Amino acid sequence: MMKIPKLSIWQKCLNLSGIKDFSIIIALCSMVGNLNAQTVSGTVTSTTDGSAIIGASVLEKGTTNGTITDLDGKFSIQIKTFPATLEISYIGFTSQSVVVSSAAQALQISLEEGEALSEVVVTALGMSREKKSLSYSIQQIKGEMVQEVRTANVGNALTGKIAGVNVSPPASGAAGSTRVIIRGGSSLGGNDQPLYVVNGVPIETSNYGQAGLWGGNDGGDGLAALNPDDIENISVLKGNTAAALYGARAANGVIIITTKSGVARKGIGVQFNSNLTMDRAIDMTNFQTEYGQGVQGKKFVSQDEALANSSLAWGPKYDGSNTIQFDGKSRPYSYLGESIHDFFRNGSTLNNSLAFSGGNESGNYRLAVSDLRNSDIMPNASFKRQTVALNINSKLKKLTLNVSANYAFQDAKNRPRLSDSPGNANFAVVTKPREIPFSVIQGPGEKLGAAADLTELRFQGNTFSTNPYWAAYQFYRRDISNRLFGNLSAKYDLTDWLYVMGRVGTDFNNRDAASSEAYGTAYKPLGDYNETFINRLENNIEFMIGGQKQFNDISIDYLIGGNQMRNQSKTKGTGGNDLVVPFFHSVNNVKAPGRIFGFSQIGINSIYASANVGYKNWLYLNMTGRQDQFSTLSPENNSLVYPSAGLSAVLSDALKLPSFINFAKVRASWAQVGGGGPDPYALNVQYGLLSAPHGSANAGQITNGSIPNPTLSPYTSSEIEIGADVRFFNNRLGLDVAYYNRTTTNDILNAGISATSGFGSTQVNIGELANRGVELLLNVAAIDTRDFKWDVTLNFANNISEAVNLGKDAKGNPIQFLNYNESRVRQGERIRHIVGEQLGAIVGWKHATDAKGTKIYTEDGMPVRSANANNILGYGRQPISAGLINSFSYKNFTLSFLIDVRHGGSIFSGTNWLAYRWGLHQATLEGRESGLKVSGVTATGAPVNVTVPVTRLVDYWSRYSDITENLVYDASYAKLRELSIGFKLPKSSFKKLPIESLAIQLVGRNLALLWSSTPNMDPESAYSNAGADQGLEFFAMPLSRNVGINLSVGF
Amino acid sequence: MQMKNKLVKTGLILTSLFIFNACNEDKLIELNTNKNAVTSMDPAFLLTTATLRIGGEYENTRANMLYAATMIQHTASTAGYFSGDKYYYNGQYSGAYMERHYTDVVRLYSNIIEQTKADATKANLNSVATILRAFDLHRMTDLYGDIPYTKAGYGLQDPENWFPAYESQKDVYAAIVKDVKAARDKLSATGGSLGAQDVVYNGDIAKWKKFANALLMRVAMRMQKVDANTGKAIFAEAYASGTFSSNADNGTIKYLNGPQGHNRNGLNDGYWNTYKYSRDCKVSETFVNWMKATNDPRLMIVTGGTGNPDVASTWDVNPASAIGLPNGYTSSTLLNVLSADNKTKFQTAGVGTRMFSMLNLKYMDWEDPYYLISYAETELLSSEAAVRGWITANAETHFNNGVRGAIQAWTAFDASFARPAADIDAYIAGRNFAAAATEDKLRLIGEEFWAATFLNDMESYANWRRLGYPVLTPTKDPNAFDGNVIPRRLIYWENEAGSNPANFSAAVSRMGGDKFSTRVWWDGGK
Repeated sequence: MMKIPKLSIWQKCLNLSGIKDFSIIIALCSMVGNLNAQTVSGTVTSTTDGSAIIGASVLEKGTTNGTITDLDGKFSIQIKTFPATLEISYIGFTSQSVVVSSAAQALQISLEEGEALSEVVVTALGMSREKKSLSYSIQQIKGEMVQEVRTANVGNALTGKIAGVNVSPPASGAAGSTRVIIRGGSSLGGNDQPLYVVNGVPIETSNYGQAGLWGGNDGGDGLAALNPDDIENISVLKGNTAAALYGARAANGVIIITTKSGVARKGIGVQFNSNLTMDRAIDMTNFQTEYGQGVQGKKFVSQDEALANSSLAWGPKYDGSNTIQFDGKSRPYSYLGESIHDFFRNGSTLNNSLAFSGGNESGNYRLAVSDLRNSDIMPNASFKRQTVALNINSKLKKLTLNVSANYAFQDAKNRPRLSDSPGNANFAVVTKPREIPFSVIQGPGEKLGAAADLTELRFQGNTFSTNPYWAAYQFYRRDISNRLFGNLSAKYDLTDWLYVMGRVGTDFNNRDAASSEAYGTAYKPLGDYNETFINRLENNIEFMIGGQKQFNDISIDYLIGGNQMRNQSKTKGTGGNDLVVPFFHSVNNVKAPGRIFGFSQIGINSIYASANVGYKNWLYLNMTGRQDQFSTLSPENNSLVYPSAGLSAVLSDALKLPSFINFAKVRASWAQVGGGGPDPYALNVQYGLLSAPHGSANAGQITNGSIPNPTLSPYTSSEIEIGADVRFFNNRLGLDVAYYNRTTTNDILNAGISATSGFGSTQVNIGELANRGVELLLNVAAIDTRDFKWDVTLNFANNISEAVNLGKDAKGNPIQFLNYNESRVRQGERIRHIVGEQLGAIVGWKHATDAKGTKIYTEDGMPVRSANANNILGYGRQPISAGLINSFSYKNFTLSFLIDVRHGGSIFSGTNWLAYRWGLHQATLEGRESGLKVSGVTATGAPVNVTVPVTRLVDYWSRYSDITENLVYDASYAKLRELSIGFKLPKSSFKKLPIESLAIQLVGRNLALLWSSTPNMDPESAYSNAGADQGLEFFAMPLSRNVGINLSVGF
Repeated sequence: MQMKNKLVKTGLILTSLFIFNACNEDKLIELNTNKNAVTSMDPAFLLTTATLRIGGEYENTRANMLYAATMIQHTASTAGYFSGDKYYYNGQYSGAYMERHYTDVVRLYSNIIEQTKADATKANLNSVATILRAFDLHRMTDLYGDIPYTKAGYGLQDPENWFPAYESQKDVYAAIVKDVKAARDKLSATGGSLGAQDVVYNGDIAKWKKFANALLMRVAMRMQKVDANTGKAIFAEAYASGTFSSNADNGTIKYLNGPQGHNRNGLNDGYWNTYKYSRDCKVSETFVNWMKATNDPRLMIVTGGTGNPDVASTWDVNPASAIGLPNGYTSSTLLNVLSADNKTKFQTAGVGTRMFSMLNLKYMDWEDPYYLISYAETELLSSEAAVRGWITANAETHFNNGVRGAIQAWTAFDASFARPAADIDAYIAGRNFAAAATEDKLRLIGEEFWAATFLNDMESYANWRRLGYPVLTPTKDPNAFDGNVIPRRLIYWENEAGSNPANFSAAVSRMGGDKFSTRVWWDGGK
């Protein structure tokens, strides 16, 4: 390539711009055009098995001239100047350069598998980068990992697979939302969820409601709109450096999802995938089965009493005699052996998808449709989803156009109500007296859960404890969304080292939700009906200028750009309480319908730049900078700059290392990101009207739930990360370690204050939070023969989040702690951030003790609480997480399983609280016949040795359970999370059929709980995915075990 | 040259990019203007909401219905969740009034007071808000003891108020008296009109003056046990200034039957209309027997009869059938105390607690009045003040007025509650106040006050703790939280132990504990 004719005019131009590089000149020459182009053709195969590599890239070095191999691994390319160098590359294989001296040669190119050394990953703003050049931790998983053992929500499929990423399962089945926490999260009080980016543009993933203290349901999140089959890969940007280019919204990390594109091939490729799983509730309850309904050791004697106190299992031992029940009928006083399975049903999820794809050297396309039908374990609850995904990439000389569009139709019926008992079927299922059969509380007629008069059949005195059949069949909730998200991008190569690019992304969701508590509901006899319409729209407009350039030993990859984000949400609704015509459920039947209208918008304007400078392909310096301006903060302090810098050194390329080390890289980086005020309109006091006037009087209110603060400024989070990536023994052993230390300052907190001030909280800019931890990823190719392979992947992370500083109060004294949520139990237990402690401490009452630690009781043997409720009893977040994946393959068979481990962290159990109080807990068996022996001391030190009589056991256990300490459990666990057994039919077996590939897998999820120490509940149980609720449990929906089959066929 | 052009173009694009961002700053900031809310509003609108919320469902069913009404033995229940019947502790119920009223009620009154403090045209609004804020916090201190008063609800005004100190009840009382007197004296014909925004007196300022004095009399009499001299002075001044002269002056919140929850009488919403808690509760045997023994014409007002709660039309309304439910029993333990006949009846299928007298549904409508202070109360307080020599007045006249007023006031709930004058006179004559010795006069006053404050049980409970009448026998459930003693207060909202710990702990140690048996200052506590 040294002989360059007639370059004088170009040489001048280049000299003017100070650029001296031959590859540029070659590129420029190619632009001039050459009439003597000749076709060079060849075949690309894999050295492993000689199979054709489809879609390998063939590029004439130093030019933009390139093509892709077809279905048979063949390519042809027009070459104008000989000799030319062709670079052949394909993801997962080591690239090769071939010098071609004439067109006569038919090239036979064989690529070696060497994924590790040439790994290309998707980084911020959708840029593909060679992994070795990156100075930060990034982990990418392939689409198959979320497709095989799948969950309807993609986020949930990340569980256990990525070091430092903790996923909480949906609290409410297939339609539920997922909580993903990267490196412990950056903010003490605000949102700690990562930013999701699909094909380069952020999407809206905020939640549509969560259950809280007083119940409610999980409304699902934006991630549910993605079909796993459309995913090519997922990159997780864990640290600040990786995410710095996304600015404020990336303070909790970024999850970058790239959807599948078409590949160059003959004709139209068709891929069909069908996945069916069967879901069954996992019953974690293990209650006593010897004693039944009653109080103070006696059975009920009247219907009213049986109804009023139905839930209390403080009666005598079951004796089989006929005893009056809530409905006035007598039934045997005996344990029936029913379990939650007598109420919950076996669920199923069927997901079919069909994709068409194709392409040639100037473009490709992929169009995929999918259909998901879920019937939930909760009777009468279901979820449907239909998606269409379209990707078109087109290259017209220097112009590259990409269109990515995803449409999702979602229809969720009866998302289960959680937490507090009204409408929470699970609450009633778990606590139902064991001598009343489910068939009785189903009701006498066809209307499930209804009494003869068609209103709710109450079997418990507490009207707020809803009959589970009534809750499941008579309550109505449905939300239907139509969502479109995607982007258009155009990139124009001005020169081979400079391009301009524009990208417009939109995400539009239209959600239509209806809900009704039925006419005849015990706690709301006239029922209600509400219709709500939510429109959410987010637009991102982005411009970029960038390119790559080589100066002898130095390479530069650079970018400068700007982004304008606008997000708005509009809610309209109508409805209300009191239906006029009995049992007619319509918004038109509401006696005096009210209306709601909500509108909010936020915006961020940003500019950014990035440069990655490489030296001799082994030393890289990454630098980025971004400035964000927020609409949610006052103009004086609404802008923030985020810098980042990092260094990556591939020692194995720079030094002579011992031969057993194939690759060694060390990296170090520093970055600062941050965030603005999350909520709009939080700067001033605002007033509004209640939903109805009072006669002719106007009823006004203060609309702020929290004390506003006009001086809020953005918070910042700086992080240092060091790491190494080393591969040994022919890449059979790979180890990636990272250590990070992140400090978040000026955190914006919705801090709990005394409600006697008139407000429960205020937004302040005071927090300082430290997250430090290590992450480790180990890959071992334990056995690697032609036919049999065994790969082990272990990821491990330990993250400690510490509240360093919580600012000062009005008097200038340091604030020692901030309060977050309490449990529905409401006995003073709370989630609290305390200075110098791990985040999210569970605080509450202890059993009072004397100086020697002897427990204090009243003279009559009742447990006594500690002096105050400020004792730290555990931490709601789990510092240690690990995932172990074993994959085996033998010829066409594969087997893999994932064990998911969490360690450390505690959970406060509301289920056990009630189990003690109502006499369901196994522990309450003690002393039922002749009283409970209690020994300890009184508050004054006198010895207590008494027997609590049977009549007072209820009081004893009530007081016992009101001591928070007795209900805080170690939340550590290990689960066999995923298992898949697969078989790929060899090509030879269907040579005569128009089939290209056929694979079948048996899959399982949540198969076994290997260890845990939480009685009567799953250690992962949470009624909410909200950050401030972690560590609190109250009658969560049971998790389900899923087994299924996955079939994929390519045509 | 082509190359140069490209670089120029690039430069232009770059420049425009920065301009694009810079120009947008104003538009960006505009996004943060909420077009659906205002930053100021006529504070009279807030008065309506704050006042309606005094009778909110959540805390009135918990503090008043579940605790006060059963502790004072107006009602009784065998259902475990009526915690006051057996002195059980339920943290949510006990703390409910405190949980809701600082954020729902006090913060709005504090906000009105702050907004109107320098505005002479809104002096009446300022005064009414001050009086009602004092009224609500007076109830609060009587329920719990030491509370945040001065800075309560002022979190918006100063970060110093985010963690308000608990003031000793003695100080709270002094502050209430000071605030109410000042507000009363500021009320005037020129202080601005409240009109319909005032859901108590529809803007009648003269009645607000009387209300302020009625509140001062109530506050003053509460101090009788521990600081009679101060109480006497306050009482005499308020009495002289003028208070309620008939039921027309009664301080009640005027509710409607909808359309929303806030329009409705929350106590009645809990008792019957939405939640029907009163299916599980009955009129107390103590109250029924007292009314029977005194031939009280209110017997068949207080109770609507006996029978299936859900089918009121089938109830037995014969006064002879009226039978109260004894306090403090479960359905099992009740069997031990029923007469043989009643025991048989109780155990008959479909009877059980339905044999006991139900509350009357006619006073449980959403639109029924909610009592703050009544004419009957001010008359009975005046009678007591006369007996004690705090004022110079005819104790008997006041007593008789109070009893008559209490009986006649029931017509505000339902016209059918009107009782013949002769019956009322006979009843009053039967009480024979004039002939009673001094201590017996106090007993009669206490009993009538108790009868007059049915439904306003929190007030009934406070007055009973002060005066000791009527004489009540504590219930004997073995699982009573703090012994078989009628609680002397409610236990604080648990949340405050965590959210305001230093001030909370100081209050608890000052009072000598946070128990049912801890006495508040005016009850002989610290």
